Amino acid sequence: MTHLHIPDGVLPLWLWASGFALAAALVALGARVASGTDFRRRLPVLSMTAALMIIAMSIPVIPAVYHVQLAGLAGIILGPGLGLIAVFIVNLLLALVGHGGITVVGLNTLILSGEMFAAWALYKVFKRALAPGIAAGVAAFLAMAVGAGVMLTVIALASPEVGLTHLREVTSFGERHHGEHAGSLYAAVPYENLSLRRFAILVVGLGSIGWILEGVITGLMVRFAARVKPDLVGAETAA
Amino acid sequence: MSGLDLAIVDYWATSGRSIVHRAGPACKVIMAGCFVAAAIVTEYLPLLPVLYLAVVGVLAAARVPPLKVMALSAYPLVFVALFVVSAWNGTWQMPALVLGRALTASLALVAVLATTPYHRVFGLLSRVLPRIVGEALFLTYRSVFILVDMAGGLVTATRVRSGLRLRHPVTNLRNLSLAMGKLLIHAMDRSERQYDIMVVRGYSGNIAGPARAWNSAATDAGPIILGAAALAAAIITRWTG
Repeated sequence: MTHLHIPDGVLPLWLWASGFALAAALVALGARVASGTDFRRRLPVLSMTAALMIIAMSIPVIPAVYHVQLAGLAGIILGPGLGLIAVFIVNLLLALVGHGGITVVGLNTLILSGEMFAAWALYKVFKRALAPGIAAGVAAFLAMAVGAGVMLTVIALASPEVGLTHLREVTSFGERHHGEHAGSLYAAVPYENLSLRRFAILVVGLGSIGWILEGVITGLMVRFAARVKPDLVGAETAA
Repeated sequence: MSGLDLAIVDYWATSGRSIVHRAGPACKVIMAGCFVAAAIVTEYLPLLPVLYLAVVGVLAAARVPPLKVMALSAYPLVFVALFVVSAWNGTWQMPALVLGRALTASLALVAVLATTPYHRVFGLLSRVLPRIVGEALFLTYRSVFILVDMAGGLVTATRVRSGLRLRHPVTNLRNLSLAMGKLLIHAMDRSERQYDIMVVRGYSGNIAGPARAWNSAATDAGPIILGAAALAAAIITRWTG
């Protein structure tokens, strides 16, 4: 639920263009950081993690409307530099197949990056005191909350325009009405944050179940990985 | 869209021989960009179904089953509903506009991937992306198919062991997590082997070869003209509306 599943043509131009610019700068930074590491060896790991995120997003978890994102897991496995690239690629590929608008790829990259970065940082702290699985689960849960916070901030930035930037002055047949004209969307959309409040209730209300699922699944996956391949999740230092 | 759907789209893109398939990737990306821009720009509701049908026409010309592509590109519907619920102002125009924009943009993008082999699309994107990101994009796309294959086997194995039962959500969650954990480990093992194979085959940090962005004027003109016409119609209807 922290994925910004907003279609094209809803958010104002300045917002999604800024999102693209900021995401481009971050991805360029991530690429620069990554090129300083043993990138060639890490490239297949990066691509598999990104592919796993895509697969995970297509597997519904009961209740069926939920899917996990594994951005937190990407942060734990890849770290922030490569994780940024993975998040961008996942968003780009999903947008190319109609899963989310192409114009919100930048914003989605920022949101999922926030989640990925939070999970990476929290896991590093928690694993000093907790078992890897529990540390990862709690980190993923909290990271989802961070991601939701970033998403609501993005929506709040657009509010009260959100969804209505181009709708205020349009009727079904393109006639422009202004102010209080009957039938005008302008008249029907007062400048108040009603949509933001509703959106926040939906995201937090429905999303919190998803955060728990994400935390549980990430935690169990990391617990399994810590037993079988501890170096993958940095678990050798946790013992 | 699942990984399996991605495989179908990939099949349409690589097996087609139509004039749309033969057009260069750059002109189809420009066309899709024009359609997305037109959907965003227009405030004239009757134009949106026209734009949508124009993309359907492109798919029909490409001999790609339009209904199947339309179904695949309808994924945003769920999220449009969520958004409409949160921002509905009581008019029917608002959901219609949001829906029309989302579906038109989505269909235009899926149409590009359904008529262009992925290496040509990604080759084009790699020109504007950092090299590292371009390489990762190629490998990620390939990895999706590898994982889909592996995930199918794991899901079957889990089902055979009665691991997924409707009335036991907690058991399901635990087993699903375990299956995904196994998938993660298998994926990482596979990625290490993949790297070794790449090195043996001479990988030196460059996977994405240069892709031809354009084909011939005869094949490339159509998509560009169509895209430009769509965008012009959107601008004119907005300007004169």
